[in-house]
Amino acid sequence: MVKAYCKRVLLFLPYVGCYFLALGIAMLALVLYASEFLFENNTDSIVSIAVYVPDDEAYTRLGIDLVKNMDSVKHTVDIDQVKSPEKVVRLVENGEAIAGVIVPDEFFDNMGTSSAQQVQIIYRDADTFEEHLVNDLLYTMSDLLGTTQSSILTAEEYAAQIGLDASDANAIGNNVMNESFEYVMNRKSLFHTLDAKDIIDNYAVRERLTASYTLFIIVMAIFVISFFYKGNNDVFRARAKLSGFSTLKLFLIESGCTAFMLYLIYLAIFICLCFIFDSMKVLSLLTVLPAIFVVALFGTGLCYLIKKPSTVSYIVFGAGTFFMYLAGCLIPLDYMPHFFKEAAVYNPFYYLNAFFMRSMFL
Amino acid sequence: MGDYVVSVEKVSLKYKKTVLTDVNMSAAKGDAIGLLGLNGSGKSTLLSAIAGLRKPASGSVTLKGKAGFVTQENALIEELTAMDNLKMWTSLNKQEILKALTETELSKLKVADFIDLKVKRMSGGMKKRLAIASVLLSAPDILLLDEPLAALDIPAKNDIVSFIDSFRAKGGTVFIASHSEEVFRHCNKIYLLKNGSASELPVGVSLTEALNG
Repeated sequence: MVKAYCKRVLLFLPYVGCYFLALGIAMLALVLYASEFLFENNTDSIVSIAVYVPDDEAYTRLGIDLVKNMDSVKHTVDIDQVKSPEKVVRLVENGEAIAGVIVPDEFFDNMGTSSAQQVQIIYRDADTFEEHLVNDLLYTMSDLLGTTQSSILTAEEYAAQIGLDASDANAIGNNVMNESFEYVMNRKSLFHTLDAKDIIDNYAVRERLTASYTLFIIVMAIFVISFFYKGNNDVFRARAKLSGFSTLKLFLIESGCTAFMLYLIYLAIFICLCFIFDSMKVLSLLTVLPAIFVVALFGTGLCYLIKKPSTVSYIVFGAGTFFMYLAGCLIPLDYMPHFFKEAAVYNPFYYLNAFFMRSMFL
Repeated sequence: MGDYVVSVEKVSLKYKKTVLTDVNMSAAKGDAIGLLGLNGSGKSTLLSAIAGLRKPASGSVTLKGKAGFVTQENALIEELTAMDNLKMWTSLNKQEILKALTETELSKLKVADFIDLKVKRMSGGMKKRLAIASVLLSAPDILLLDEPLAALDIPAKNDIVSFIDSFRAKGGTVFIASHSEEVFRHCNKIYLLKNGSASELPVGVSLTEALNG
């Protein structure tokens, strides 16, 4: 029987090949233009932050201008400097700004003293990838300022304890502050910094979509392969049973054949992608196997539960597409409403997609 | 039950609802047992129970020998050839299969004539003959045929009936579920399945009358 199934696999390959060519090329075209669709042309990805800085805070204004001109901020964050703290609150409440920053009066002068007032940061729930980034940036900045302030206060306190006069203690505090800012500006000494592009590339939208579209192509292949299964046919199953093949054995033979066909699809995709991406991992030819077996078992199981191959095809196409959409396989979850992200953790395709992404690129 | 190769004792069968109750029948070597009944009377269910594919709700089925079951719908794989389909269920090689198809009683089925044809290109008669040959290659002692002549042309019917006779002549036991009077002429016992019970019909009785009476 295994021989006969192997022969069937060979006979099925032209259908599988046609399917791959049709869907694979369409998906590839989508992936190649995905970043343009999702990033460059999407003006909604600009995040707005409302900032209030008192008129006499020249240094703080300088700092904000510096941040505004950073490349990464210029394309993602719109810093809206407003005239009053109330306006900041109103903009955040209305949803016109994702976050608000209110700098208190005499902030810079008092930063190194125990009477310094805190910078107020007002957040909304972040939905998009950029909003998360901006929120994280604000947290980091507030942590840095807090650490700097603590260092200055500690230095001054220690200087007073060892008997230095107030002006010397103040000078030490200023040194700590200058060193801290110098560190922030130069990012020197303590941390090993990497080119952000190297890291972000690993999570780039093209790679993410390539992995999820590959998974989509492989799952949808069951649409074509469903006609391959005979275990959903009671008569065939009875015949197999009388010849000593239990339903489980038949199921495993068919699942194995399906996995082999799906693997051939993956191999074809892998070879095509090697011409496009430098980051393809040869090891993925092995690491992707568990995911392919899961899909094969899922497809074969579905065909055993549902008698008509055409019904299986409709279910795979309809329900499969729907659940894969909810799992962020068609559009990344970062571009979908927040509740989609919460719901995705209950979706098995979410984990399958993550596994695929890691197998292929990470 | 001494010489019997098949013994069905007080068997009750359920398929969604109870279809047969307290069925008793037996068959010896060389017997051809006909099962007559209207659609839904339980003929196929009874054959499944004899083949061991369905467990009776009560009673027992005893088989002395190996059973081969040719169902109404075939279990053939459409995209493979007749030879590939035959090889799927047997350990015999191509030469041994061809020898069995040409030099034994299987030759009456004339499967060798279309051995390299794909199933999807076969007529209904060819498929039925191939399905029977596929079961017969495993050399069963008891052959269960469910509607073997349904939707077949006259030459195909003749080939199958002729095969049944030669299978019996070699000591094989056949159970045939059918609506066709033609096939019952080749049976030595006929059971009428009606109103949930099975009764043996006396020799010479009109089958149509028995069925409608």
